[in-house]
Amino acid sequence: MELLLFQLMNGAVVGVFYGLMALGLALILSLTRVINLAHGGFLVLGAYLAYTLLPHLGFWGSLILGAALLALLAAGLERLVIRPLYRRDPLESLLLTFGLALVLEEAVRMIWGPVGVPFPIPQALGSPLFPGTPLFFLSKYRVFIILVGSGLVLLLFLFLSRTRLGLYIRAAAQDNETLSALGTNVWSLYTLSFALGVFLAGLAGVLAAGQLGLSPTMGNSLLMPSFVALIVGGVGSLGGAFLGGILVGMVSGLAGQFAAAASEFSVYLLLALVLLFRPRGLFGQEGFFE
Amino acid sequence: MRYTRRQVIRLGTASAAFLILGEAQQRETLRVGLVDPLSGVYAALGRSELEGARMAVDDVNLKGGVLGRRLELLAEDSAAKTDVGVQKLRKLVERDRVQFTLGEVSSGVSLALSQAAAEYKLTHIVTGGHADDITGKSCRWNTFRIPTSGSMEANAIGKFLADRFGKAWYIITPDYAYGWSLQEAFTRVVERLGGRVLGADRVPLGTSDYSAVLLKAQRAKPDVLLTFQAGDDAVAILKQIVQFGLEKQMAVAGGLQEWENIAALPKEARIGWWTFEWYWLQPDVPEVKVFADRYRRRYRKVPTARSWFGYAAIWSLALAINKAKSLDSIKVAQALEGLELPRNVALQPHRVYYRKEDHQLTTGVFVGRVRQGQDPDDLFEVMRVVPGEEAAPLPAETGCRIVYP
Repeated sequence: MELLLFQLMNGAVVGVFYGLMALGLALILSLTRVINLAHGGFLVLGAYLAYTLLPHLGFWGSLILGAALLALLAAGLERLVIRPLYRRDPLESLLLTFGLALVLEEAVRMIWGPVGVPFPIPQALGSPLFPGTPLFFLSKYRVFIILVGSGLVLLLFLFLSRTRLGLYIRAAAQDNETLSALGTNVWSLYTLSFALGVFLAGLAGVLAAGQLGLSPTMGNSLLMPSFVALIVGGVGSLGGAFLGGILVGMVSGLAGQFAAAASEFSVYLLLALVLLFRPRGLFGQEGFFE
Repeated sequence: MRYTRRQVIRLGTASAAFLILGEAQQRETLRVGLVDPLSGVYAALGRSELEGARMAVDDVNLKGGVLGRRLELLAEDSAAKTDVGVQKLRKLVERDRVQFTLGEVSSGVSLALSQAAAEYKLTHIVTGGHADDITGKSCRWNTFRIPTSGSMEANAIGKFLADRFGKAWYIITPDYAYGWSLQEAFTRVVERLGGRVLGADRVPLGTSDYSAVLLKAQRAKPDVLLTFQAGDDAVAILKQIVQFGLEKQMAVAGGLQEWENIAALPKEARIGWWTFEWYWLQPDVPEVKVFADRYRRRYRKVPTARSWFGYAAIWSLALAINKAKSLDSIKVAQALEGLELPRNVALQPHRVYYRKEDHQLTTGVFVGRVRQGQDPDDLFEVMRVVPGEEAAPLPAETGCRIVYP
């Protein structure tokens, strides 16, 4: 029983991570209607950028600057290749981001090599909070991930609900034509939200690299659970996406306790069950992306 | 861009000449196809195999080629997927007309390639798969394997672990042919030694978070925690073991650790007791130093076990073809049986040859400890090289029966 409780707590920790990814996906989707399959590729690229900056800026500096550089790059890509597709079938932007994911992975491989690279974390974070006890899984690094993850979510919500720019973004998500008719430059809002979503992916990448190791393919295993989190949470709801991530983490953790072989499968079972009883996901908005 | 007439004529003649020359060369070269993951989670390993193979091709050609013909290596990317791998092998055989095939890192794909090559009646060398079945129940006349089998790994390191740390083991293994094979082999060994396996978890390939199973393992309080994760997964689980401080509570060990994995780990996570299948620092074998120096000059990195697999595969083929004096796959396969690799190809202390009964190469198993040596690329301390003859199960126990068509 105790162990089950631990597995649930542990799952929530892992889930923060999926939540962060799903939040980025949701941010991009809610405004631009682009399903960003390159999110995993951006995540890896962000982590590698941080890895390159690491000797010069240290962990903290490269964490922020790596993700910021990535966001700039994403803004450029959005203007160049994604924007022309907004008015077309969503399938086309889906294909584009799928291709982009391949390009990003191979680019990383060409620049940094196919062998993974060691990504050290600050020594102060490298040990368990309660070593030798049953709570050993609460490593300092994971607590740090939770703090950063939930802090970011909080910031994002404050930004969206309390600032003028946030208000515009929410308005654009609801009705971009009216907003545009009122004289707002909707396109730059699109660029902003795409860059912001990718910024979250970059941060997630650096955080993940500290725990999983850094290789050109590390994004692959993180992308699918994040999409599941997005759908489970409900498309159109940012809070739902984050909670969906935590739920996905908990379910796969619980499955790991009983049958590790089913831990991957259990996530999709959750997806099927949620869609069966709530076709729009737990917090999905009616009429969004339908 | 516009061309003058003169330029068009010149271009035309040049390309015609190129085509004719290319045709002539095609007739002369002997084509060998390698299927290996060059993208996906095993890309680092697959690329090392390709690099080793390329170097061997150049060496063979420098020494006059095979039967007076130049070797030519064609490589295709399987992404470690069975269907893609088989498709690529078919393409290599049917379109590119390769006469022998090699590959690959994944056990599952290796088994499929072995079968596909058998359909074409082509000799195939497995350059990287470790499941017992490849030279066991699923062995074939056309298939020879260079790397060790799971059983060889378990036999080589099992007693060492039991003597040094204890006989209560916990196993975390990837959930496919390779992981199952190692789990069975290590379980057999520890039970034969009078110990037992407290628990075993099969985790899907490509899992990034191992905390759920590590929680279980910690509760079981084993003497030894064995993990057989490969590629990115190995890096992830080792990082997490160290961040949880588990290496202070139990010995962390396993079979088949790869230099590529350890190199991707930060210093504090370079831990554990493992087997390597080959190592680039062998002070007692002078040929290894020559090989490693040449490799380092060529690729600006050290050769790994994977590089050696690729290198040995090409040389094995070349030696067997020259011995058989034929390109006929059946004759070449028969020449490979019992073929002993010369020291500058074997690159290890003991005798290395292909067993006639199951087509397994009797390559040695390097048992030791991961640690940072003086050279930044020296990550492994070899404690003992167990000869392949000693580590391999008796041919009668493998369940293999070779039948020629």
